[in-house]
Amino acid sequence: MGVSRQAPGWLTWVLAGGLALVFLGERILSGASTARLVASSAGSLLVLASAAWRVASWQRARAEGPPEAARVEAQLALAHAGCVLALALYFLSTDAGMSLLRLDFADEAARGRYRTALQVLWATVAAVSLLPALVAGLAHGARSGADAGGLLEAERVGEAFNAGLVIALAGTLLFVVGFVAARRDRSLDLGYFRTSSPGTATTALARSLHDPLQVLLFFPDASPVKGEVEDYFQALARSGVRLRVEEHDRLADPDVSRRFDVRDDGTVVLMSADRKGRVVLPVEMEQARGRLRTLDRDVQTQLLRLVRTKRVAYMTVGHGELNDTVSEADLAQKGLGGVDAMRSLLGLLNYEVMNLSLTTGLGRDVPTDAAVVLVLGPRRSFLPEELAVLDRYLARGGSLLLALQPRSDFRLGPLERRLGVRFDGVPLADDQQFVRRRGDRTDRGLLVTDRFSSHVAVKTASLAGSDAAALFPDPGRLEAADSATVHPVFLVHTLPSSFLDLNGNYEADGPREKRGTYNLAAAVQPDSARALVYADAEMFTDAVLSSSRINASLAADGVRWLGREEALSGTVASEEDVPIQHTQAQDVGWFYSTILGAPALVLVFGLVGVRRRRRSGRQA
Amino acid sequence: MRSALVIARRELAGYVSTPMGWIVAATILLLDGLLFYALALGPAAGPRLSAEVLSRFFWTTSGLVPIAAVTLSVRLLTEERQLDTLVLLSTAPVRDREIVLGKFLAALAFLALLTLLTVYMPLLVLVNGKISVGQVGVGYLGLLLLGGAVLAIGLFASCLTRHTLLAVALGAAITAGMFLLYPLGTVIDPPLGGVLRALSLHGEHFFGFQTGAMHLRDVVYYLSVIYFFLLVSTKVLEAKRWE
Repeated sequence: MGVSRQAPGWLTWVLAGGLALVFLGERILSGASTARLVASSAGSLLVLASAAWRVASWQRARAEGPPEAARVEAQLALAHAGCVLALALYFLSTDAGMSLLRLDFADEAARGRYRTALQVLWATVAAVSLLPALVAGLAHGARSGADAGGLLEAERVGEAFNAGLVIALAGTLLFVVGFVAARRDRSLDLGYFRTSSPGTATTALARSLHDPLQVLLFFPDASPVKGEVEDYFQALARSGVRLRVEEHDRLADPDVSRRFDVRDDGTVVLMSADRKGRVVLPVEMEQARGRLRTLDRDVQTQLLRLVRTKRVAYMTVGHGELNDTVSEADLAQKGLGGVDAMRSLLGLLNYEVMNLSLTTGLGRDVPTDAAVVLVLGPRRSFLPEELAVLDRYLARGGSLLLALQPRSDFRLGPLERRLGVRFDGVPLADDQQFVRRRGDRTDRGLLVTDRFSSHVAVKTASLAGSDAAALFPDPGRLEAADSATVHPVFLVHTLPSSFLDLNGNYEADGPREKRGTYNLAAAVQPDSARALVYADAEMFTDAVLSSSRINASLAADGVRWLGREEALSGTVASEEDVPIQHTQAQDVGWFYSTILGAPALVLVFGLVGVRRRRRSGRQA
Repeated sequence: MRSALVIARRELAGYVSTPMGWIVAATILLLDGLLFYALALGPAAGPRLSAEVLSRFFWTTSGLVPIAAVTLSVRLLTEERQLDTLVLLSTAPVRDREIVLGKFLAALAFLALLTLLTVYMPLLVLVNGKISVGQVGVGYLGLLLLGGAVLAIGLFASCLTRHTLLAVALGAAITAGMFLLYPLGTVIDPPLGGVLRALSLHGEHFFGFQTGAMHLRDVVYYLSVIYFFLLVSTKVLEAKRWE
């Protein structure tokens, strides 16, 4: 007689169904009290009934059946009993169970611990009981029609039961291991990190100090950030800067801390003569990483404060300039952002930025504290009086940055004669070298160029190498004015593939739209004044300055030259991440190498190898 | 262990000495290149920071590696059954766990080769961006662990049936189910939601690898999944001896 005679094969499925009903009631119908009660009660009854039947079957098999059948029934009865135990443990973890046991906990935390422990326990007991029962039930059912002989069949079902038990125990163990690993997690962050080294601009700045630079580091001894900061200043000292580094513990040296007004660990005090600057860094490496990447920028900002007092840079408003509030929506639509990056750059160079409108000086005279005036992409023309004010400002030796935009009503007027530069508002385009951004024809207006003169106002860009290009979105062009008495120096030129896009279709169609090298920027020094004229204004927007380090260097070097601080020109070292941008030509190369080149290479290599192996096999 | 290595070597030779293995490799590379270009690097993806481009590369590749793993693994035992060579293997002096381990190691080695062939894509980012070799290494470790886990699932599916198509469907269903646990876990209340997210094959277990952060919990998770499914496969193979 086979073991299948002892209890029906579907009894295990009744057990599983009962447990599923309890799950349904407790998890899914927990909001509806009646439905929950019905489902949970029915499920529990099914589990209890199937367990009782299985125990009875085992007793019957022990009394009447062969011993091997009794062994299988005993295993199954044990599994069913385990499921009942799991249900009981679950009940004890509920509020009803706890009140039945009259458990009184000291606080919510203790209650939570009790509940968690029971939840883990009932889930484990349920898993190690149900899975063996199901596997044995499947094995049982597979041969229910065949009477394969008692011993062999019992062996088979018994082995299936054991396999289920091993799998359930292994699963439970792995679950616990995973839980412990999650609780006691350790991580290793191998993402890119490097503390910035001193850039040439910072080095030049530090060298220009009359008195030696004193650097006081206030870090706890164990802080790994201190080592990184020390390395930075040692590199600065190696580049010929006279400096002395002192290490202090803020708590151990309270007098020194008080003297320098240091209230936080991680403070770096820079001092030269009686001027002070400070950089405050986190002391934990995890938090300090981002700041250490741009340490050079922070140090340079503070050094500038030691070299001179803050200056004022005026930005004109009221003519639809990029910094004018009326331009915000237009710039946002183009995805260019505003001019916050330009403002930050001026702040970094120790300038305070103020607006210059008709009421604050543009109607009478540029304020005397103006170190530089910036006119960024006006869309409307200036009043003759306003142009006259700027002309007078230049006549008395002022500094002016003019960034002009095609398709605007702005006219240079008297400034054309003063600067010796004429702006042509016909936009330029390039169908061969341009940056892909929008994925349509208008991208051809996003010109790139690496043609820079050796003038100090573009010094960093000219030294950056041939692979460093600046981006000029939708520029116009500059020419020397006919009746000029001063001679402009053209600083930046387009690539020879650019052309005049007279009809605005981004195609070089017709002899009038001729290709050539056009001027994009000019530096002028009429008498003691200094002026920079750019045939593009959007190159100073946030989207461009934050994504192109060459554009940022053009802006920084330009402001330094206008402020007569060209000796401090140079790079600001940064280990901040950079956007990946490429021209259309690079795009094509990358596309073919990634899409076709590599797979074709692998296929050819593999197939040739297979063929050779087969041929040598045949010959052998 | 030696028997497992002998089986692994034989299986691996089967992959590299047939055109099919190379065709699969080239197809996966082609798809990965397309996805990399469309979603991470190309103009349609827009200007992105280099670390972000790399993270997207690992994210797109982590969608392809499971497909390759399922394709590679389901034939491991179904083919033996179809060709009636499993009997030979079963009667040979090797244990079931050595058979399972040997086949798994062979598939893992080929999957590793296939995955590492994509290394030129992160290298393209490395040239122009600021990413570290460690970040690339951690990303690939994550891909191998994920691939290994799916291989173990596929191997389990191939133990269950002699029909390749059914095995593919089973392996893909289990893998997809374990992938979907993460989004499911985000909409289900705790503690069950948390348990589902912790069991998910992708989601929070792969995020760290994408950004170069290796977490002990994630490594333990993937190794647990591999061990569990290899154990279940061994048990199924043992049970099949009764047939």
